[in-house]
Amino acid sequence: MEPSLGGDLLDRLMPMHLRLDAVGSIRHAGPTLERLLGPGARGQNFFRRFRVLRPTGIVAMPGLVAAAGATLALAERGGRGLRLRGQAHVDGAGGVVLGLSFGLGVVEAVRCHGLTQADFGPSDLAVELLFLVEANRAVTEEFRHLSHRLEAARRSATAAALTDVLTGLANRRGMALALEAMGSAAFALMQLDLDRFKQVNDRLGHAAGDALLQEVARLLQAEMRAGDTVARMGGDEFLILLPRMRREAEVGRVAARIIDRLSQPIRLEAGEARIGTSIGMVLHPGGRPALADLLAAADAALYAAKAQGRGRAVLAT
Amino acid sequence: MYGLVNHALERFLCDTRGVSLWRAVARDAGVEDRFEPLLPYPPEQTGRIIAAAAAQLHRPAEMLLEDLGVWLITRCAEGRLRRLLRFCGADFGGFIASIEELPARARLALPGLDLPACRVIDRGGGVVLLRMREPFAGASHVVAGLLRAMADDYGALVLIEVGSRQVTLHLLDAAHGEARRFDLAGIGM
Repeated sequence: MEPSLGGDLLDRLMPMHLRLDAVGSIRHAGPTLERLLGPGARGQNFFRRFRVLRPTGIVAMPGLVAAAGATLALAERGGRGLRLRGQAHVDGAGGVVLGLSFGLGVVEAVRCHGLTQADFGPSDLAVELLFLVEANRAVTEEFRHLSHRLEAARRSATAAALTDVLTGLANRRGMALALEAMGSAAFALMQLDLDRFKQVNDRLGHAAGDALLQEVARLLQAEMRAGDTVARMGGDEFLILLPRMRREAEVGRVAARIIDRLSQPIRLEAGEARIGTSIGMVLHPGGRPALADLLAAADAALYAAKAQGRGRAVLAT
Repeated sequence: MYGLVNHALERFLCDTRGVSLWRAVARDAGVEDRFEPLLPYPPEQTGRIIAAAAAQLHRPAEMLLEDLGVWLITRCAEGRLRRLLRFCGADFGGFIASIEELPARARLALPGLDLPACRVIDRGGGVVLLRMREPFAGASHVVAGLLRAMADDYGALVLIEVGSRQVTLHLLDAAHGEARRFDLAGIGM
């Protein structure tokens, strides 16, 4: 061993090296390893302190010397249970010098053993690896936030496209989707429009007309079950989808409740509005519906209800 | 990179002057009031935001940008940038010496993030010159603020002068105060 390659120089270049003598005693540990192994390490037999995981079968010096230049994997017996990787090289005096590092376990090791920048040699990229891990986490987190924000924006854009701006009810497209989602289940449809809506609009103004539609929307929703869909199809026309409703008496009761509720005066800021509603109903017993036919039937029933006078509900036949 | 810069300006102004001021700035500059740090934006928006902010706050743009630099280290994202920069050197001298590596580091963190190249020229006697290309006017003032805050973090006493596309550092005392604690493993690792 050249004296110029003494421990001091090696300590600075490779703070994680070990020197073993010909019988395998630890003669010297670089400063980082010395701290991690503790004062008892010097003089201890290397093979008592470490198990050579790879290459397999190395249990004494001859094996280690023969494996010079190969990549070693080591596990500390007891102590901190360090996992190290490195290489052994013969020192020309029967012993070996082991250059060691944490390998990919460095992130874990830094956390467990409180290592600092000074613990790593100048050519060791451990600190850069830690930088990368941390930078990577920051960037990944930022991307995750970005995709959450984009997803929220997509959801609200989708919701806006399916919602009637004035009343917050579903719009035509929202209703079309709700109908599509019924598959082949049974449902009832109610089509209704408001009686005397035009008069309220003329008498109290368009703002009052809008407020009235909002109030009607609120009342309709209050009368419905959670799974029902109330849509404003335009103007003062509403369509209500009642999933799983099969009986004439049942849908008739809901219609009667709506008619009763909407025939009561509605207080608006601009004054009191007296409207009413007529309802056309249609029952779909299940199976793939012909939507256009169902809607036409509901529309015809509504027409018939109006023909009978206001405040009536008629079931399509 | 401009998304990152605009987003930083947005967060900085919201954090230090309030959301309503930021909205006024965005309106005056004719830009959206929300920037995504990872999305690309046209470069000219940045200059307009800076000019609008300076006008709203009646402060020279240079001072504002230097404050932004300090804020990036001390306040932004719970000091995450400070941590990333502390990886660059064990002490302030090491940090300064590694500034030329910053664009490479930035690319490691986020491929496609093109920080402008920067040259570090050691004039001796504790005087170091940083020459850089400015991706937007006044960028060297942001760098000056960053360096001021990092010097504080390392406990170094420095004097900083900003010229056009150039920052001059006079390192008066590398260990003037105590460095802030820097734990390699960080929090939650």
